[in-house]
Amino acid sequence: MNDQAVSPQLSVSGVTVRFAGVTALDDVSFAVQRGELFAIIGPNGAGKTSLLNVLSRVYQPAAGGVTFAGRDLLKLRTHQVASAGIARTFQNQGQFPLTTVLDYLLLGRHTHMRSGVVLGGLYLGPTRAEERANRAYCQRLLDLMGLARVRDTPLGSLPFGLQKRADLARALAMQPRLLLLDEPVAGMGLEESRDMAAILLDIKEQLGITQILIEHDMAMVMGIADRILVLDFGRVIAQGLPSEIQANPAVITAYLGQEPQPAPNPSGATTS
Amino acid sequence: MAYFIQLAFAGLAQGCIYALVALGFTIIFKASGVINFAQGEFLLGGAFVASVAAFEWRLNFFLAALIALAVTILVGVAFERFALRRMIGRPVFSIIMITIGLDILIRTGIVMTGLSNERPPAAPYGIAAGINYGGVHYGENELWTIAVTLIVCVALYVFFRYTRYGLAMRATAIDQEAALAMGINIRVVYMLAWGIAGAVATIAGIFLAIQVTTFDSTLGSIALFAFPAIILGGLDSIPGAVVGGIIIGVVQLLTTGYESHIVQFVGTGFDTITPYLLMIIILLVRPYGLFGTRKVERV
Amino acid sequence: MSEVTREATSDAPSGDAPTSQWRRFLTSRLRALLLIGVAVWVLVFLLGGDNWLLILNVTMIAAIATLSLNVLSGYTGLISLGITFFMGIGAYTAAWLGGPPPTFPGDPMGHSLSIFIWLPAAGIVAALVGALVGPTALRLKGFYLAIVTLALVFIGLYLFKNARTITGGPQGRIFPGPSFGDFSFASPTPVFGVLLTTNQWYFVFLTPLLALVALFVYNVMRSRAGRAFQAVRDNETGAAIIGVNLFQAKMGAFILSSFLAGIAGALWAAYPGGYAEPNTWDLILAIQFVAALLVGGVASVWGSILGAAFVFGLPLALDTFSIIPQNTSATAFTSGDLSAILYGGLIILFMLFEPAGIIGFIRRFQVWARRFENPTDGRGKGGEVVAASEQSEFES
Repeated sequence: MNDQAVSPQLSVSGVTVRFAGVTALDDVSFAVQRGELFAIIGPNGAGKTSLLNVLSRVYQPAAGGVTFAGRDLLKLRTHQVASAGIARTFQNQGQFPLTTVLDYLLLGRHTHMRSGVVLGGLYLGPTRAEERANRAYCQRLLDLMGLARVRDTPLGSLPFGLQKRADLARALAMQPRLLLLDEPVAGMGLEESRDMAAILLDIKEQLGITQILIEHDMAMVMGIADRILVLDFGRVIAQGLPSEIQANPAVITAYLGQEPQPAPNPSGATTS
Repeated sequence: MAYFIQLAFAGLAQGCIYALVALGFTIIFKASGVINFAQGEFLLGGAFVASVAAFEWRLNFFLAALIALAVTILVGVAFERFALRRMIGRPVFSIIMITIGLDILIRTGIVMTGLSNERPPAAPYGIAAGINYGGVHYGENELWTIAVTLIVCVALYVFFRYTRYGLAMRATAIDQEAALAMGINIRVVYMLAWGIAGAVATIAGIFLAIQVTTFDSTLGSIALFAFPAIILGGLDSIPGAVVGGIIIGVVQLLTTGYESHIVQFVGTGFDTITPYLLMIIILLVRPYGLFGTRKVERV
Repeated sequence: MSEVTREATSDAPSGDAPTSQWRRFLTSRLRALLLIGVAVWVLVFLLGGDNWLLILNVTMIAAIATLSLNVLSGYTGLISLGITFFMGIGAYTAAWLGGPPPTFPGDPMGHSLSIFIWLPAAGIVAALVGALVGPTALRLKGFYLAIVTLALVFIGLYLFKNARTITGGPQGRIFPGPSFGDFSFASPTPVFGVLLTTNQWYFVFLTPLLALVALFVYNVMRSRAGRAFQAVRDNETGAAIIGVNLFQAKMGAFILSSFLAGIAGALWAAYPGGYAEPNTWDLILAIQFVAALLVGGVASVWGSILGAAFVFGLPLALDTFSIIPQNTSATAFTSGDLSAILYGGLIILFMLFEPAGIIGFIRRFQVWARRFENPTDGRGKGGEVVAASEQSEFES
């Protein structure tokens, strides 16, 4: 039941992204309520990651607008998105292979800390206190995410599933209001996917953080999403509740191609 | 006016030398994505070996030049095969540094032979020979430099356009993986790239040595001016390398020539930095150079 | 359990109960190492002799310069061949402020100020120049940045050769040694009845200076700014998404690096000869510092010190103690040539086989040695996969 009186936390309208002759997103519009777990699905190349890149302000749309918590998101530069309350996980890992898990979480605390070069170099009282406090904070997050044992391991040495989990921990360390998850269970086995799904539900229920996730794993998406948006060739072809999406013929066609026709009988006569 | 033409002519010749070095850079870059900081020492090496062959070993000029070509090509190909091959996929910094390491070794090696102080260049004609016309002296060396550069450009054009391996190199420059998938032997392509680079550097070195009448181990430092040339022309453009080299040469010589008029504003040695100033301007205004392709650096 | 999670991600992270860092330090292995270090230092100071002290002093100054390059290129990933430009700026600032006043017309300017003025000023002016140059240079990446920094070196050489009143022109000028009031390192007076040599005074001065610089850099890198630098090096877009202001981070690294380079430059000119010409600040020297950075190990404070020792100290030692026999026949080579072969060869060998430098080599050795500590744990940390079924407290 959608309460029309509450304005959405994130509102995307008419967003179009083009590059090198390809239209990655074409007039995409949707809204996400605070605290929702909103999934975006679609075949490969549908524009899902492009959409996330627009929301992270890595891409500039050719047309359209995005509002987040009442502010025009498109006015922000990439690094300002974090302070606006939006955190994002990465689809591929390996961006920071030498960084330890703890340092990676501390990097996530970047916008919540203040020491610059001079204060950091002198490492006086305020910097020391800030470091200690944030390390403690990150330690608790590590404990909760089951990463304490690999705290001092470089990310590049971790198995892929743990890298993904560390990435999520880093995103949570940013204390976001909106979490963008780029294929959080890609490359994971059944057990790991279930763990991740449980974590995402916990994030929703206990932390109240809004989540937008891109995923291919249908079972997982149908299981945890509040609402789903389906993209195909950069266009929205359906949005609504999981049950609605599952039954939507346009969605089925997009994933499977043409509706299967009954095979013709060689003699032309119908079989009895 | 004659003075201007004299300068422009000298600049053209100097520019041809830069163009040859720049060609070497660009060919290696296009084939293997590496910027070879040792190119200057190929220049020196070529001039040095030719000179030693001509004077210490008393060989005739063309034989000396041939030996110089052979040695430089060999060194370049060997370096590529045994050192650079292992560096595939490593960060840019490391690759730049390893070519710098080679640069240092070659230059110091030449210095340590003790034969490199004030060497006379191997030359088939007198240093002062030339044609005088309209108040301008057209030196024989300059004329030959320009002529040979032209021949080299035509030869390379024909090679890249019409021969099998030229085509293979062009394909590799566009997309290495696709070229591999097509069955192109990348190893041969690399070898060719470094071989050609070594050869053009040797040619440039021989002409340059004649130009400066006596040379020592610092001859190779002139190759640093090829960097502004390739940036001006566009890092991945072969015609750009030639055009860039010539522009840099002409601009530099004009500056040298008219420096006395502006010395009160800019002091001495301004001609040593005009190529770099030009380069910085280009980088700010049109980073992919005159002929380079757009995607210079990924954002 | 929900309170735990809410607390973990609440807005006001609370600190630990303060365990005394000092107490832990005093009883730790670090203290033992430090005591040994101090003892060695005292021995060297007393018994080293001018030769060794000279080598060590030059190494320490080179280490400061290498650290400055490490901040920019090692930690932040901004390739620079231009360190000598900033060193020169710092050196000439120091000379202008601290050098002797002109005795003849045409002599370069100097104000004979004390070291407490010219040394920080050298760093500050270099940092200001860095702040000016930075926004333009940092628009470029990779090879392009390298070439622009290379251009800076030549532009610097041109400027230095022409600014005769400051630099003394191509003939060079005198640079001030540390001095304040009547006391100067160049001609030291006895202190408490003990007469120390110039090299000993420099040793006493440079060791804490290097230690401070090293500590400063170490602190920066383990705090917020340093994490941002390294993130910029590893993945700019990712860093920006996480909230790092790329321009601010790069400028911060550039300015800090220029500051340290300025200080190193002032000292490099002042010691040991107290005289330098503009040609000192050339590309060859810049490359030597890059070699020191790479051979020692990027992104490591100890790496910079070790690298400086290898690239600057070792050749100097080999030359001073005539370990390499001088070939007196036609192919006589200078020590400069041999050190060039040394670091040229080291660059190639390290880039091929140990790109992480000496520090990388040491670390690999440590990992290998750990094998013998705990047989079951041979793979080291992170080798075992945290079991997927190990549920976090999120399961209720």
